[in-house]
Amino acid sequence: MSKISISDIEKVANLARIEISQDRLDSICLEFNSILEFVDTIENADTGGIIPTSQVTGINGVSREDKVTKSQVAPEDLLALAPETQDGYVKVRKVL
Amino acid sequence: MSKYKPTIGIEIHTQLATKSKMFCGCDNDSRGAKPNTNICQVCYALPGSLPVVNRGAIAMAIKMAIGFNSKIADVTSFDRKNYFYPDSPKGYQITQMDQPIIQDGFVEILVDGEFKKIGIHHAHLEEDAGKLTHPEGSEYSLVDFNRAGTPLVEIVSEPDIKSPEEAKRFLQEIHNIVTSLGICNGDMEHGNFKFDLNVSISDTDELGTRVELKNLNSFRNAERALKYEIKRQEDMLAEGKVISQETRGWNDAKSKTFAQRSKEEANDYRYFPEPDLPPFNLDRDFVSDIQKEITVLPIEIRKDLNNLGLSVDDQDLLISQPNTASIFADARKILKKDNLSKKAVNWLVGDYQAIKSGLKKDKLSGGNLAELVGLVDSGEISSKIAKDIFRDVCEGDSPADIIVSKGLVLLSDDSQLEEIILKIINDNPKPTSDYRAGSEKVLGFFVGQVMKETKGQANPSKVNELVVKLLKG
Repeated sequence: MSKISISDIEKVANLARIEISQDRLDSICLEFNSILEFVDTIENADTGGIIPTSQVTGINGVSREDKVTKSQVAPEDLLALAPETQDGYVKVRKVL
Repeated sequence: MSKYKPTIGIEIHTQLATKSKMFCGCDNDSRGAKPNTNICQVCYALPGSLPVVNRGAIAMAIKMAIGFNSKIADVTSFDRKNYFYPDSPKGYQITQMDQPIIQDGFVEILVDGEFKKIGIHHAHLEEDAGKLTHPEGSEYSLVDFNRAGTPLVEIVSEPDIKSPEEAKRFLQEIHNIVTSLGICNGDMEHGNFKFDLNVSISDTDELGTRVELKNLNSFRNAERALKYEIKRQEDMLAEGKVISQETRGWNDAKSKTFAQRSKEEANDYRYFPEPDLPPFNLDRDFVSDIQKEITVLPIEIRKDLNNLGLSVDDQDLLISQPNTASIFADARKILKKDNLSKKAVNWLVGDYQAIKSGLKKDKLSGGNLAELVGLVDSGEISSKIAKDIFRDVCEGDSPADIIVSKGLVLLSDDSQLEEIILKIINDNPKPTSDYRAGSEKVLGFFVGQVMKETKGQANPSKVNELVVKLLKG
């Protein structure tokens, strides 16, 4: 049973701003579902009473003092990475 | 009275007044800075750069939790909220979903003389995005990332608010709390304090369809927008129309709410735990050190002032100025009596506010203020003299010292005053005969003349008494 439909693929692609051509949708849908089937196997494990784990390093609360420090990369070098700039701003396609 | 009852919940974004940004050491104050000058590899999300949590922002959130009577989480962690928009170089915002730092609190608001609790569902730390501008008539938009990474706390209320007036009071109270605790500059014009209002109406116990009013930044507009929106929803229901769940904006010029394009749905943000930041175990010593920094909470000041019978405006003023509130607290300890304490408040909300910004040095102390109030109360100086010397008192001088050095002690000495009054009676035969013929109103003329003659240093009640005595001959 396939969990993911073609329209789900189109929606996720849109959210991730990835363009997928129509002729590839079927094959991606198949691959997507086979990955989810693999995850199903993991889902069979009994996790009752186990707190969800997202970090395994055991590192706690890395923080820094509230102090202004200089950027390691000069702001003008960062700005120069943008495809287009104007008067110190990054210029992008019109969004509203 | 409408048969529909409104239910309102509010989300407030407060920018924290830290020195540096939330996850990097860039300057958090970009007022007057050129665009894209307070940015670094972290704000710009260069590959390989890593965020590090600002301990100052955590400390401020803990203060806020105390102000909200909230639990402070033992462990707090960050999550990623994914979205693509040009204001976010990373393609996601670091925020908190599963373990926000502030959980389950309340604030008390004063409505019609009664305190009412409004629940705080939670409040979480997150980072602000860059700022987009859309030049008029152009086919492009411009981005400034100076604001990207500014620490924010988003405060989410419970839907406990039942009217636009309550909503306004709630917003003002939160503003009071965050500004008086020094967490947020509270400058609403510059976006330090913005909010979204969720409102639905219903004539049953079940909640109606919720409409979200986005991005307001004034208390007055919050109240106006809610009133408009409640009316709009009532009219729709009256016409048998269905209210759709949507996001609306507020057009101030037209005094109307309007439908906005809806953004992604909550599940479209694909939240997941932030892999770049380990969870934060909040050390109890760290928390209790911060607790010690808070001497008095705004609500305690409010309850005290309210018991004293002060207006809500006066309460708000003292609460929003922690220094002024502490001058008052010190003066009150000395004055003790409620009527004298109220006089101290009058000085603080009146003359002090008027001259405060122009003072050479603002060194008004509670002790000196209490002394001034006491001197007027005992009749040693007139209220006019008190006004004249108030500036010097604000600059740190003791009122008793000033009146001695300037020779301003009130004339209460009978023989000295009688001499002055007799001279005035002799110089003014007309008013004198008027008084003797029964015109009581000329009394004011004589008292005024005595005050003029003594440059305001005569004890007014004494003068009154003596003028009457001498006029009657």
